[in-house]
Amino acid sequence: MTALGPSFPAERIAREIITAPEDIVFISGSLVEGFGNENSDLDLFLVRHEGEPTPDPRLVLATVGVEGAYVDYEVYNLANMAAISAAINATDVSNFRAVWETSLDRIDLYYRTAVAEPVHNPDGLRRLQRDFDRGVAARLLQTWTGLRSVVKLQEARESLDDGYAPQALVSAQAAAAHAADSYLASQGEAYPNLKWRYEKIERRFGRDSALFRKLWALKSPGTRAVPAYLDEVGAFCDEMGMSKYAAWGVDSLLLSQAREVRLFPLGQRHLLVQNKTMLFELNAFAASIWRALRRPLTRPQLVERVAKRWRMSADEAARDVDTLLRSWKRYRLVREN
Amino acid sequence: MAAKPMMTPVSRRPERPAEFAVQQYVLIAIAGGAFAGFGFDLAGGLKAGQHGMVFTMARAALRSSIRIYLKASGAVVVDPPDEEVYDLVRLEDPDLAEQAWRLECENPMTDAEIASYARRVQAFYEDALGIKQMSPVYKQMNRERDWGRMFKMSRQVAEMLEHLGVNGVAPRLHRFDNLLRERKNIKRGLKT
Repeated sequence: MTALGPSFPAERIAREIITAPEDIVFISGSLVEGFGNENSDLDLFLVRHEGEPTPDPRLVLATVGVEGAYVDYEVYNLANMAAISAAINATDVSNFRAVWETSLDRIDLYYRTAVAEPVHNPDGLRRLQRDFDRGVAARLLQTWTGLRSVVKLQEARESLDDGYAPQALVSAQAAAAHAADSYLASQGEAYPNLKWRYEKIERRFGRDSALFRKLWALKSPGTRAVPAYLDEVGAFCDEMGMSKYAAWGVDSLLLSQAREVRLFPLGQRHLLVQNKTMLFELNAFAASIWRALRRPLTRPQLVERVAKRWRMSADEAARDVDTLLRSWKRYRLVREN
Repeated sequence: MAAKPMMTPVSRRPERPAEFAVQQYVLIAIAGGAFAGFGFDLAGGLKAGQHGMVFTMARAALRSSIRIYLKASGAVVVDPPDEEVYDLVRLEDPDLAEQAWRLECENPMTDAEIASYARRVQAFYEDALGIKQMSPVYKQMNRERDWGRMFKMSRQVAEMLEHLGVNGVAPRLHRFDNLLRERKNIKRGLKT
């Protein structure tokens, strides 16, 4: 127990939550990573030797025992953990779609397991950790954040072109932050809890480093106009090596209708109902595009289909599809996988 | 393509019972828990000199609080992305939108500026957006019974949402039941 004071009853909590001696209890998270403060919670993980995993593993106990520490408690079983390690270890980091579809929560759990400290059954934890490699998590996080940086920068430029300055600014901020996250992961700072971004830079390169100063200045536009801010973010992303991800092709993402959204014809009208509460009216053209997304399609496939169906040029179809997709993404009517 | 816009939002307001249930869930489970947590994180980070984390959390809190406000006012049901929150809040209240946008664009540089920024963001979401007054459970969630009350009320509202057929707002009931059962077992064990 290095992360908490010796009086914290982690072992006692472990004794209460295990159901078999072979169960594994470990701690991980910000305290173990070295970023904790007196208000940080303790992330405690129970891996049951057998039996059903808890359907919702995120439980909060809050202020258990002495020291008034918060405890976030998650429950898995060995089969869960094996599935997670197998999926992450098999992810091809050169495959855009495979990386894009991996959830950050899953990368986070994988990383946390790799760096965990034992509370109960240290031998069991060591055996478990053989399938959890910090380097694998780092490479995956590097690509995961790099791709999102590229996508956000592209969205920022499109929003600016469309006259949406606030949207452009927020997307650009995310692009800069993820570019730094990606670079940090490439340098071994791969803790996937991204709120510690600046602390990671400070630990690795120092607060006086060029990286810290540049990102700190880019965290908001301040007095800069949005176009100038976007230019600076673009240059920073290039400097962080993000151009290599730009070539991967955002167009390979599959678009499909979001769950909880249904199209209802009403005479000549086309009504899109979201979550049984929100209502949008589509014209016939938009409704036909919506129907096309019953099966997942890439953007180029969708454009091609629209051009053929409506006898439009590829450029016209692309312009209309992009306009529609931007508003559908804005209202979360479509999913990108 | 057509003179008519390709897509027009017809109604962005849910029907009244659903609206009420969504508001209650948002105010109890999200505003109550998450925002008290934000305040706690900001305080801990400032005390420890972790000003980078404080800025990152303050910015996240600013955007999340606007989402809470939009949900609680019935303007949206599904969470809008970060990029959209400023335009949406402008439709509801241009003065609030202006205050929020100034905080979004501000770029505090020194430790003292970060501390001031975090305090102003917190004041914005607690007082200007009114989250502190709106939520029946908004407080520092630093006592066991506060969490218990929040989970119980969240489960109650989830039951109403499930009955109304509004999905995707709260976890399914069985997940709450599992959570509450596990939690009870552990608490019982720790007492003995």
